[in-house]
Amino acid sequence: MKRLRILLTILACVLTAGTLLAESPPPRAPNGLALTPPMGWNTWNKFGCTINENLIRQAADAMVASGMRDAGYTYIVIDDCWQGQRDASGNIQPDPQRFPSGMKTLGDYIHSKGLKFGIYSDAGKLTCGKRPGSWGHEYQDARTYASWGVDYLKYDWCSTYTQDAPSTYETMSDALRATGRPIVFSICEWGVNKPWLWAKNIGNLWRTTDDIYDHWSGQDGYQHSVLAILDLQVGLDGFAGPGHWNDPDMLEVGNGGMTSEEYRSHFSLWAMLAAPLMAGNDLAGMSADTKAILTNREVIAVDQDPLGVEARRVAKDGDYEVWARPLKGGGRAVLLLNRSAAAHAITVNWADLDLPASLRLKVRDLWAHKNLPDAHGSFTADVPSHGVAMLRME
Amino acid sequence: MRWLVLSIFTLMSWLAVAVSPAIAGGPQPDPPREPNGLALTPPMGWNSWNHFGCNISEQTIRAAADAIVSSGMKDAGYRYVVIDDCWHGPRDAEGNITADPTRFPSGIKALADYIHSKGLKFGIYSDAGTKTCAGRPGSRGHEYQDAQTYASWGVDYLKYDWCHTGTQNGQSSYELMGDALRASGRPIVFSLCDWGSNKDWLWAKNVGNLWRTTGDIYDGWESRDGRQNGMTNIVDMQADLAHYAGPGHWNDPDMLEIGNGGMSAEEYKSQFSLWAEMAAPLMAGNDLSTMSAETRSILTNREVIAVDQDALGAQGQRVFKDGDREVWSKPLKGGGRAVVLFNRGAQASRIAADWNMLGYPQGIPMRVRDLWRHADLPRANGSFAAEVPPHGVVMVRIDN
Repeated sequence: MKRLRILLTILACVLTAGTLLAESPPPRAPNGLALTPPMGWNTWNKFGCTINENLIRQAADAMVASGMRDAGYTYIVIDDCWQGQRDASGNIQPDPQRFPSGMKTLGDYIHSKGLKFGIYSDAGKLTCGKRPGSWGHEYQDARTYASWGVDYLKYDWCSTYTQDAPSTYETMSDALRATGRPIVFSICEWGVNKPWLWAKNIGNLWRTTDDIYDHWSGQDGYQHSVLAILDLQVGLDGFAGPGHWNDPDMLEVGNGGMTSEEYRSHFSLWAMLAAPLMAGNDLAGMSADTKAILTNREVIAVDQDPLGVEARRVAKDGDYEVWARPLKGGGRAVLLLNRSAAAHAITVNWADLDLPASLRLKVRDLWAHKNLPDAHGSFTADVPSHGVAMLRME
Repeated sequence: MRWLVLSIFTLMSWLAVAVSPAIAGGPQPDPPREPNGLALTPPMGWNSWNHFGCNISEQTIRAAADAIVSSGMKDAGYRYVVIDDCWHGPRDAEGNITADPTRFPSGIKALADYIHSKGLKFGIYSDAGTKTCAGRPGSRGHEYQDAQTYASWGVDYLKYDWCHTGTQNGQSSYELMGDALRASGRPIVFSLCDWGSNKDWLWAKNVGNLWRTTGDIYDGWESRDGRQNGMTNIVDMQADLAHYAGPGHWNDPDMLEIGNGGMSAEEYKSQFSLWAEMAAPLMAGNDLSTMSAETRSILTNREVIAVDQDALGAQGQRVFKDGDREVWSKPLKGGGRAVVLFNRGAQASRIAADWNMLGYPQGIPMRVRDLWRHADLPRANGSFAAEVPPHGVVMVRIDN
């Protein structure tokens, strides 16, 4: 009997050891969402923590009235500061002063406009705005969001202390899938833990840097300008693809801190980067110029190209850069960027595009909305200061 | 005047930046946690795993509760009846954990009520990862729900394992369940079971009440194939950890194997003595309803238990080693010492404890009481020595 017990004990220990050693979780499949970079609008860049349900309804109305929805913008994303307290069962409630009608009603309104409903939470104990975070409540919160008709979750990284990022985001990813409702998962841990290395089948998009701010160049504390963020995207293009995107943060177009030329460049660069296009301005009050930038369908089509290959910087000569991305059908989107203080001619050589010099390409200017003469070997344009030329070549 | 205004403005700006919450960027320090006020002495009880493993049911647990009382274990101080792995059923539609309906048809609350009716406390088990070690649902992502469920059932103690955790950070995972237990409003002793892999002694003081320091114990004197932890292997792994322990926060060298048949009676006495010496939790792991008189007398040695439960809560340490001969010393409330002379060798051996090993001035005469013979020995002056059987101990209390 003792020998049998010893054998069983050894067997139990070996099985336990085997279980402990075999720690790698079953590989995750993609969730099938965001096959092109998500497009929508988010409250944070313009309104910060000062939000309420009327603001959201107005944004949804403006999204339709302005033509943004028809141009492809779908998600209305409520960022931080919508939350109230958790109830006795630990379920999160909206702030009753700011969202008195409740989230399901708001979600229904958004859906009635042919739009989708995005919401925000945080992977730690508290959100960045010090509201209750989802740490320890992931499955409860995912079920709550699903019951409200949420289609998109932005998940921040404040108050996480020593938490491990991959397993933390896995937990919410699994919780969202367990609801049975398709919910796009936007990972927002600012690139700290190099999400491009592990987040492919966990989320649909991951922030690669600290927050953007409404400025063309430079940095202000942890906030990064357009150019600062752009430079940090170099080398990350290989990690992006349909269903899993690098996220260089939301658009500042229309917020007043940059010139029109700079906003055009910001928008063009984001389209080249196959970035999510999340407008961050006041939609109801936007100028014609802002609307024209945000609804440039030809530039949007580059962003939404089904091949889903993010641009690379293929040439750089001081302040003059060439970015290029392959498009479905074999063409290229090419962007010439002038970071300097004066207008300058910038040339793209076919070699930079991995094309033979003799190849004749049709060239279309995506801001002038004009076909240019066919070119071969190279193409040169005069690019304004802080501006771009953006071309489709096929 | 202008410089004053500028200075004040600069100071206020600095204050505004320093005090304002960082939206993104560097981490903020976690507000410090207070102790939960529980386990001021090492917890004592019984756990299903070492004898029953995964093969448990509500009958097993009720029988164990009955046996704790009828055997005298309860009177000796054993209180917690802890169900280990394999009690779980599936989660319901709200994500709340349920009990295996075949093994626990009456439900956990009824079982807890039964245990409480015996004047005992109720312990349960979960895991910080996606699954328990035996493959049942883990608590990851459900921590607050599960803590509320346990509280509603009347749980008094949670053992929280570390399987299927992938890349999870140990400290934050255990802090999370610790916070969830406190939020439930019910006092629940929190037993961390990550086998020392996260160096719990460095951070777990106000997170849990006890933390495993090593891989699982097995019912043997020493490791057979280099992978299992025999009793003596575990003892050796406690070196250097003693000063991390104290009232409310204990090192846990795993459960007792006394009565499970893999060691001799002498060796079981050694385990019990050393565990008491190390201020370890005393979690019996045998079948209480069929234990021999000898097993019971080991487990209910009140004088040794009193050392374990000493109010000072100082963990004993090995203060001398010469080959197989060791002296351990544990400071007691009132200034006395519990001393264990431990003979790891295969022959009987004489072992002496000098007063300087115990931190006493050499010339002081002290009373000596043998805690296994339950007898006062002649006063000793400067040292105490005894003949110690192989794989055995002599355990004495020394005071003045």
